[in-house]
Amino acid sequence: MLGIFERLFNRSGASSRAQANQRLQVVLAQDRCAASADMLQIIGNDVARVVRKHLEISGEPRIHMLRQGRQTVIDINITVKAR
Amino acid sequence: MTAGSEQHQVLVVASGKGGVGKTTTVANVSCALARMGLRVAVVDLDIGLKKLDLIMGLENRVIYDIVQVIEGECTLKQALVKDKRFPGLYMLPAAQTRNKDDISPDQVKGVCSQLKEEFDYVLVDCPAGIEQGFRNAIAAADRAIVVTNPEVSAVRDADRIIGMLESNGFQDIKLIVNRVHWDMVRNGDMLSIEDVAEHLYVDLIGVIPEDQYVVVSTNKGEPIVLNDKSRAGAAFDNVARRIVGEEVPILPPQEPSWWGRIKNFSRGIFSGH
Repeated sequence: MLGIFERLFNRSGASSRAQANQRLQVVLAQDRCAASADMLQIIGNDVARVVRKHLEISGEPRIHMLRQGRQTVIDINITVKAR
Repeated sequence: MTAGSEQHQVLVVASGKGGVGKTTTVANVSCALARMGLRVAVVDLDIGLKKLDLIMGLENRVIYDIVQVIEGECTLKQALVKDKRFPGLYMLPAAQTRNKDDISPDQVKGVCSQLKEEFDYVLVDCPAGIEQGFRNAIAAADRAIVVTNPEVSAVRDADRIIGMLESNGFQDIKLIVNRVHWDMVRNGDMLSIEDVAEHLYVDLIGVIPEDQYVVVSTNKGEPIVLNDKSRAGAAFDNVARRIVGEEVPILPPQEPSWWGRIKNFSRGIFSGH
């Protein structure tokens, strides 16, 4: 019953507004620094290679572009292996 | 800041994407400013694709255009078209049979500095795009207003335009979100004003609701700000008041329709709050 109403009134998290926001988030971050998703992955791998010289890391680097105001920040998450 | 210290300025209205309502904004905001008793000049820089004359209902009065002024075929005074309704409002038409490369940013600066001496506000209608027409339009401007719609492609193009304005040294960039369907925003089917402002990160100077009166006004070549019933007209009037430095709150969304109320009510019951 609830599901029907959710669908009827578009209350689910996948509303087209939410989708528009998610898509804009990605596309604007990339537009602003003219960087593609591929380039991000290359940057992440390069950074991980530098870190690996000094520390043992686990898994692949996770890389995201975030927007802070009108600036774009590259967020690279590299997990260091526990000893 | 007092209204006086903000006067004698050139404002460019830009958007990147076409069809978001730049020309409608220029026409209506300039009429609202002129109604306040200010002297206002509007400059149509969409050379080759002019619209401002038609939207303002002045197409039958056009004799010369800005390219002829720049090429010395006529004086600026001869080319300026006086508005039908407001004594302080004048329009400088674009040329229809020329193109954007026929004039340069420096030449536009020359025309605008002449206009600035005579008028409190000069509003420049920037063409869509990021090429020569855009460079011409921003050359003389002190402030910029970016018009967008709550729609992904318009927001993306607005973002690009804001970036280009910033790299051209613009400090004062304001945003108008035009054609907002409040019902759709409420139902999660349209970007909200907050969403758009968050993506673009510039200050709002206006929120214009979708309004069928705009089509009617455009058909007649009359400004929507003269229509008391039009919410878009009231919103454009508020933009003009904010331009001169008045503090005017953003208009609240119109009341939901009866069907909207039922939906909101049932939503409250079934979602448990």
